[in-house]
Amino acid sequence: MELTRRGFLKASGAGIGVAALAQLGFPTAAFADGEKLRIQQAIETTTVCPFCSVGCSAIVSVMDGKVVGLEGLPDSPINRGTLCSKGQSIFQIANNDMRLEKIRYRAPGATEWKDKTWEDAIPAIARLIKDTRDANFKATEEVNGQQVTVNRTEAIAQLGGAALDNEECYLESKFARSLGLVYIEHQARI
Amino acid sequence: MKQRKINKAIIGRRAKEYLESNRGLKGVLKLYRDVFSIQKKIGQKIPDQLPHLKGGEISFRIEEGRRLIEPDELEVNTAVLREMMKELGEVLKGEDSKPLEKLEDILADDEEVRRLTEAFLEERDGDDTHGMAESGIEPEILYMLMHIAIAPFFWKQASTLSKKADLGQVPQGTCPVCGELPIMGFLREEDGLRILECSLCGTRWGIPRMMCPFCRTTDQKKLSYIFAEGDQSRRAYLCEACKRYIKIRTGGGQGIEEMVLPLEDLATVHLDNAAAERGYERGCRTVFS
Repeated sequence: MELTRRGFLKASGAGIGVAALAQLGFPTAAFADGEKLRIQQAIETTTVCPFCSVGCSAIVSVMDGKVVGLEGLPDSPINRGTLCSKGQSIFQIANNDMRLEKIRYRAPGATEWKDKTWEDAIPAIARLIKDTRDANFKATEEVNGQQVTVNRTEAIAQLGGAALDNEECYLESKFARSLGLVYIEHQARI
Repeated sequence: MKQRKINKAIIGRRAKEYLESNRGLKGVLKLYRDVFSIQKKIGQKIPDQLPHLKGGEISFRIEEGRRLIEPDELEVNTAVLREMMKELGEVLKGEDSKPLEKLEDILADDEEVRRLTEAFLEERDGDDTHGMAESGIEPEILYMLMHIAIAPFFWKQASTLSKKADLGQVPQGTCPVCGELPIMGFLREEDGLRILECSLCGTRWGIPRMMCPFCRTTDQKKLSYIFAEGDQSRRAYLCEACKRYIKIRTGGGQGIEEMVLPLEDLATVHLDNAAAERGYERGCRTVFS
């Protein structure tokens, strides 16, 4: 829509003040013809920092699907607009040139890394987990001279990632316990 | 909440900066400086007064969403107002004195000045000017003149009230002190709090960051902002729910007390144009309305 000067004065809702100025003969052309700049649009969305148990809130600015800004959420009663140096770095979870984007595999004894696909990796990881669990699974254990059911394996440990959110941590721990893991740890504790 | 502290020197400095980016604003920026000088000079003659509300009443009204200065609670000294209108009228005449030639007749009649004051105070809520229609001056021009002439009375009364009120987070798009629409807002540099400034009494108050100040939606899918490429410090926040927008300035190194938002508003007209082209209406007033 191309706006005329008069059209702008009405459409902008700049209101009767600017319209009155025009009637008084003040130069208001700048209001309509001002700078013709390229305009960009971004959205802001809130998120919770995953790095520790404080639970600070942040605002993430996104443009064309990419994170372009990060700041503390001033409305949060927890951090009141501030973020610690680690919290400020959650920007790098999304934007990071060092982040691996392919599966990398180094065979036992090998010195070189190779690229693999998810189709290769997921069955191989599942196989290793299953074989390790089956080989080391304890259904029962003697306690005070009696055999009691324990259904566990001590051959696998699980470490949750710091960038996981609450729901992902829940799913991971549920999955690990269903396999019988007892060594379950997480860095964030949120 | 720190309130604004602006003076002629600060306005002069800022106006010079804005002029460098848009020479077309010269006339309007000069007008604002002249208007401000008169408001400050004659505003000194407004008698000091005790606040009409006590601390508890102030908190109560804010909690209830009621403004602190109702139309019948503003104390306007007619003699000072008449002097203000006279001098501002001279400035507004500019190149063409014809639209304001009836002003002298109005100023000669105290009763008419009082009638217009009451009409202004009642009608500013309704966004129409029919009470101004019988004065012989175009209602739009007279409304603007009344707005800038009465503003210093609001400044005076608002400054005593805002010192006693907690205006850190008042989730509304109209001024908690006088009920007027904001001129625009800014993000406080130290914590990103969004602060709006009233277009009439100059009071600043904080509102939640992720909320449209006009329809109060907090649906983040309906909120976005636009900016000129390369300058994220000046933004227009758009609301898809009510199709209105508000311009926001980020710190940009300027001390917030010295931020002159009326000038910033005039200098960011490219954002008004861009928002209007996208079908959004301005939710704020200007310093002249």
